[in-house]
Amino acid sequence: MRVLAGTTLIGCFLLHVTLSHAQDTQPVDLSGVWSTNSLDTLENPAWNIEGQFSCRCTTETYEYLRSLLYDPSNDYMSAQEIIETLAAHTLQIIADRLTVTGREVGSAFDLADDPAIQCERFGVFRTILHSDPIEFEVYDDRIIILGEDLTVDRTIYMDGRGHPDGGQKSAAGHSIGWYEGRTLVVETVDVTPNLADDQLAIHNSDRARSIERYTVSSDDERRLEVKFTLYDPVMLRQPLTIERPRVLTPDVELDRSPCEVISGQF
Amino acid sequence: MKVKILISICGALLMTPPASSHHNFAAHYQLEETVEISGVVSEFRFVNPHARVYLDVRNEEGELESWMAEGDASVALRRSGWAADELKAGDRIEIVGHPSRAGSNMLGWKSITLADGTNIGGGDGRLEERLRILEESLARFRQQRGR
Repeated sequence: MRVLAGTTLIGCFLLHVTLSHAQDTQPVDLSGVWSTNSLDTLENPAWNIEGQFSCRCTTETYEYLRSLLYDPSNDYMSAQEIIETLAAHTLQIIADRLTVTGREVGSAFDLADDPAIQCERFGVFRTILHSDPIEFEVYDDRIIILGEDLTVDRTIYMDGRGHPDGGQKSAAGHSIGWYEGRTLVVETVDVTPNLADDQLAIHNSDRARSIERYTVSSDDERRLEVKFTLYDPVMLRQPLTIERPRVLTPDVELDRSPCEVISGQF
Repeated sequence: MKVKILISICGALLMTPPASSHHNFAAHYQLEETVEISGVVSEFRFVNPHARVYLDVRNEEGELESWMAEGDASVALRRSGWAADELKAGDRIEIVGHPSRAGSNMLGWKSITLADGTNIGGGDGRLEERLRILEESLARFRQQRGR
């Protein structure tokens, strides 16, 4: 009897370890092209109403969006008013979150000085927050995330390594990833100072790091919840989380046309 | 000059860049103002970060001026069915867009109308199409929410 119980316990333990390991290695397959709610994908059946109204907005703003949508007393608001309200809500949260340095850097920045106008590639944070489609290429030891023309191509190391000690800083930074249940978690460090987002007027210092969480929706596996949290003691008083869901769009091919700087009299 | 001030502020347009903009239109253009020009296309550049139309516009003195209008990113336009030959040299067009911050002959275009009256959009006027879809979804959602 004891032998049977012991064998059963060991069996259960091994099964648990096997299942846990399987989950830790690759519980979801993110392969493919995922798009935000751009005009050409806005009527994709995978979107729910929150997704259709999704924006480059803070977690707090998404909570506000849900209150606007689900409380009938807000039914007087048009789609345009909701969009405007969400944008203002997020900008206010960001303004309140910035340090003095973050505010100074933001107000000194002229949009005309945006490096993208000169076709300079984005840094990693702007790449993450950008609206264009992205493609995941999933391998055993790494994930490649490709974007379109001005974004940086990213390698996420999935082989259990850590970040290098005293690693060299770069626009793409150094990214490692792991799975937590149905979520791919990515940590990025070793970035150079950059414009993190032009629309949100956020800049990052070289002390910034980020955590991205990509979760395949339990409601619909064609929908990907994306949360990006920026930690930057120089620019932010507290971490800032921006969300931007995506849907799987197998019919979309990445367009990596080159960028051309405006020249001449204009 | 065949440039006329049309409308002014629209909050959503202020807050929202072209659908797949690679940088903010406010970098070069006054988003609170809208003007219209008409002229003849000299070149169409189907490129990133934004597609561009170069055109010759006759001013009020009868002199030809060179203008450049900047629209959405070519990646976004291609997904909306545009092609590199969407506009050709010699095409007569009207463009509605935002004037330059610096006072130069540049526009951030909202929409383009061809000589036959067809509006081919292509700029940040795509926001209107986006709003139409969202309004329809919102109405459906509100109707079904209580059930």
